[in-house]
Amino acid sequence: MKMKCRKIEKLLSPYLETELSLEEKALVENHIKECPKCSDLLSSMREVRNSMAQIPEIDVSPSLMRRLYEIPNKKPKRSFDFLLKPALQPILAAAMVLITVISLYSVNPEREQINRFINQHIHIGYSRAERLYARAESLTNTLTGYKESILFSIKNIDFFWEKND
Amino acid sequence: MLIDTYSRRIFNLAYQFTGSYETSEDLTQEIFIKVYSSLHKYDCSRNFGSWITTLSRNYLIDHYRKTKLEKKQRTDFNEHMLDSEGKTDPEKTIIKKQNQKIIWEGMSSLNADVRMAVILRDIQGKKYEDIAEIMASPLGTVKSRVNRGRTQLAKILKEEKENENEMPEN
Repeated sequence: MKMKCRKIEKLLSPYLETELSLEEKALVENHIKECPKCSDLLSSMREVRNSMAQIPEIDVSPSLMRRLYEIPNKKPKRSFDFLLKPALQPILAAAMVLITVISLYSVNPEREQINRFINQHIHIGYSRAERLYARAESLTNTLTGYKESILFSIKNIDFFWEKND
Repeated sequence: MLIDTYSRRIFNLAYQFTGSYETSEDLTQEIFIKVYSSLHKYDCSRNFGSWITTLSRNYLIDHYRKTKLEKKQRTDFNEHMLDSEGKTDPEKTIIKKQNQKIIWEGMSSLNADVRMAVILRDIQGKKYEDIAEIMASPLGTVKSRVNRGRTQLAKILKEEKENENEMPEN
């Protein structure tokens, strides 16, 4: 395609819509007199424009209208829907129990007594653990004392006992 | 009320853009769902019609980029367009319909932005300023897209007509 044709091609659309300056309009008109290719293109563009302007709007079908009217009645998507996932249910249940216990504790008038009870049981538990640890230590010491004799006995066990005739 | 006012406009834009009747019905429904969920984002200083057309245009172009299916689906022209003009004389409209059919099918070769610009300008007759707002593009870009679309369609129309004229000789 010639350079001039390329330039004119860009002006054809604004020419059809009478948007060109007088100078540009004269440029297009002089060119299409000499160039049958650009002249044909202009006619086809005019035809395209006229044909497209006559493409009719079509009616929306009753079935689509029904579908559209149903949309507002549909349940809107909630942003907290992820909380309904089954995988989160044990965590939510545990959280609910924890919240219930904390609520009951915070509104309970005998909170001081509960505190004392909890402290007492924590101390009992702690002293039990200490005693258990001490016993375990003494057992370890006892076993260390018998270590040599236990090892000697294990070594001398006769696994393949044979009958002496 | 929203449906009564805008369903025809959205459906026709979807149909002209995709060329497929069934796809357009589905897309219209999806666009309305999108409209309802985006109403809180609507800026009251803007024209509501332009806002809803912009939203539809964005949805259609996103759909086009995701699927590109409609390239093979612009085949519903005769069935629906001829039905809609059933009362006019069929003989008078036959050449016009042939041209429209070639153009309609030829639109599949235009890229999404060019196709949308041509539809808004030449089928829907919108002003360039309104198209620029709907497409969120500068005025010069819109004019250039319309020119490119018309030129491509003109070449397709010319070529098809030449092929048709050559056929009886063969």
